[in-house]
Amino acid sequence: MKCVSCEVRVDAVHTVCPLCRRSLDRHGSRPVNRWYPAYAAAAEEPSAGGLTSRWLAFAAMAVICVALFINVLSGHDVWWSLYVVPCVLFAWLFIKHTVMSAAHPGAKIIVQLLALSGLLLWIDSLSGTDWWSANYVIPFMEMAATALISVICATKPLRLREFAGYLLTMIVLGFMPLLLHAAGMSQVLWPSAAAALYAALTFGGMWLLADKGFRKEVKRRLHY
Amino acid sequence: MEEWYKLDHAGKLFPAVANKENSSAYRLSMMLTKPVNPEALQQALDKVISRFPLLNVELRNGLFWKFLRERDERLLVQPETVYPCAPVHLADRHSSLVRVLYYGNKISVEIFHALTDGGGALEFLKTLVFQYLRQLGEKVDDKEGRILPPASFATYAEAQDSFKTHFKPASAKRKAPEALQIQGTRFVPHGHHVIHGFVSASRLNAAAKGVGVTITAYLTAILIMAVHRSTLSLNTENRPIVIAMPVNLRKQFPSSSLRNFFAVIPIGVAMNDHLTFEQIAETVQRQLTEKTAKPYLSEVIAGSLKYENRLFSRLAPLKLKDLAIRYGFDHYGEEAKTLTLTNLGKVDVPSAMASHIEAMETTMYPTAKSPINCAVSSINDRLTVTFARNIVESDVIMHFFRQLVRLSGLDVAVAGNDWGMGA
Repeated sequence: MKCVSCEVRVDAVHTVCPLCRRSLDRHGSRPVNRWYPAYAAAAEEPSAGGLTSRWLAFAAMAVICVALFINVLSGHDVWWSLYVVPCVLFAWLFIKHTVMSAAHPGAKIIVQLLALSGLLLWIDSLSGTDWWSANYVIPFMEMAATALISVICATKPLRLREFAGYLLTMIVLGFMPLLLHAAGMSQVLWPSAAAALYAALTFGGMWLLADKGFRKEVKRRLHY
Repeated sequence: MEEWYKLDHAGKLFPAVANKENSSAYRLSMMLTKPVNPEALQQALDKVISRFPLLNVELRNGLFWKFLRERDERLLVQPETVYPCAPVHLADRHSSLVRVLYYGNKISVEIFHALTDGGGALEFLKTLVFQYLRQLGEKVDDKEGRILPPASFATYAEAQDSFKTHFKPASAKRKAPEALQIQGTRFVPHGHHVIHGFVSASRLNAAAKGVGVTITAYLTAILIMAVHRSTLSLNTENRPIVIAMPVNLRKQFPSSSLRNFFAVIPIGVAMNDHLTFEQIAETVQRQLTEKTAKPYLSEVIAGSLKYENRLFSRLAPLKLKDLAIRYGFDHYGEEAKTLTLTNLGKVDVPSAMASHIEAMETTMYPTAKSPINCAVSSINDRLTVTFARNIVESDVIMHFFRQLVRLSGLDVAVAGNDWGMGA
């Protein structure tokens, strides 16, 4: 059938011209499209966040706004809301990323470690300059997280390939407390040094004890 | 072969910019003369995929760059159920970056662009269909040496990043001016509407020669006129119409790489109502000749690679690189073009195989800022012009085919997938 407007021949499956959308004088049954299947009635896929996720974000934002509002109106001699806000944000991240998301367990451990470190540093800096977080808590959290991923890898050798990237990231993060110390944000050296040593030993142990796959994985993950 | 691969230079772009509106997955299809047998196709794929190890991979994150790792899972053929060039699920660890689809008489491969370009994908499709016909017991052979034999081995050279091999420092091109952008109403739900136009390749070639240009220049000139006509009232800033054209670099730089090895050249015309078709075609042909010459392409490669080669870029964390790549893609790539036209050219297959193939089609995914894209390919003297769009408006495509009929006088047949048209 020819479209008289476009002067092109239109495949028999079409009842209107695909170019100008004018009707074609077709008679008889409509053949099956040779080129494409009939698509199932498609609906717009829900966004990655989903409704629950949006409600969660709204709830977190509402709590933050209310806290700031009350704090400002009730006199701001004490900025207690500055403690509330990061705690709410951490709770939001915990529920959204660690509880609700399908992210890799290794990614969840690392995100939790980084978020908790940030939260503690913030609270620490607000409550004075003792730097208890950078002195002790963060280095030990680093070691605990590295140990956790190492144990997961050790229990099932097949998981090494899956977790190797996260383990390498943890090894790199193990040197972060030393950087905080160098930046003057912690005064006690030994926990930071211990975290770095633990990271280095983990790397050395994996390099020597794990199979060739780990060394290959290191090469893959760190190629530049 | 190794079990992992670095992304090639061009391949580093696509994972950073891919999303729902920019799937970065293109399609090559062959319409056969008989309905596809899925079991035979799966058997053919099982035999062929080991010849193309670069296609059976998964994308993984490194600290500085992403990389490709061989998949443990078997690549399965699938019935075609969704619109062409749908996004690949990069976050899904079990998802493949290659889809082998069948529908009716048609075999399609959809490939995430990080793996290879149209040249590499075409080699894969040709070998797959060749093996498929053999599985069916058809007497096909390749006396002319036009396909990669399924039983041969992948070579080291096929996995090489030819951009690096042929890189020579040169002055980079300056930022191109902003091109006219096509606006439109997005399909809801999102999808790609595809229209194919079929025409005799030899007659079209004769029509193009009649005005002293190649088929590519002829179609590009018609496309520029169609865009101009469709956007007359919208182009108040008189921006140039720029057609971005991927060029297969293997023709100018010796390479047997099956990975990405292409450059994108801009073919631009500042339109006005007084320009005739012949003048536009001549301008396009002149630019094509100049910009597909080796010196120009060397400059394009140099300009493209200079950022990647800097130590600072190489040592920047992956997430930071992704942000920079997305910014560059949006502001230096997408805004400098109106749409993309890619011509895969005449597909040569063994003569014993050609009689089993009715048509060849190439589909180039549209993007957010380039909502209509065009791809051309031909086989057995049948040339297919394919438009894929993610907007409702079809003015550009309508004007293109009307102009093609009017200027060439050829018989043009059209067919499509009617996505978003409620049909």
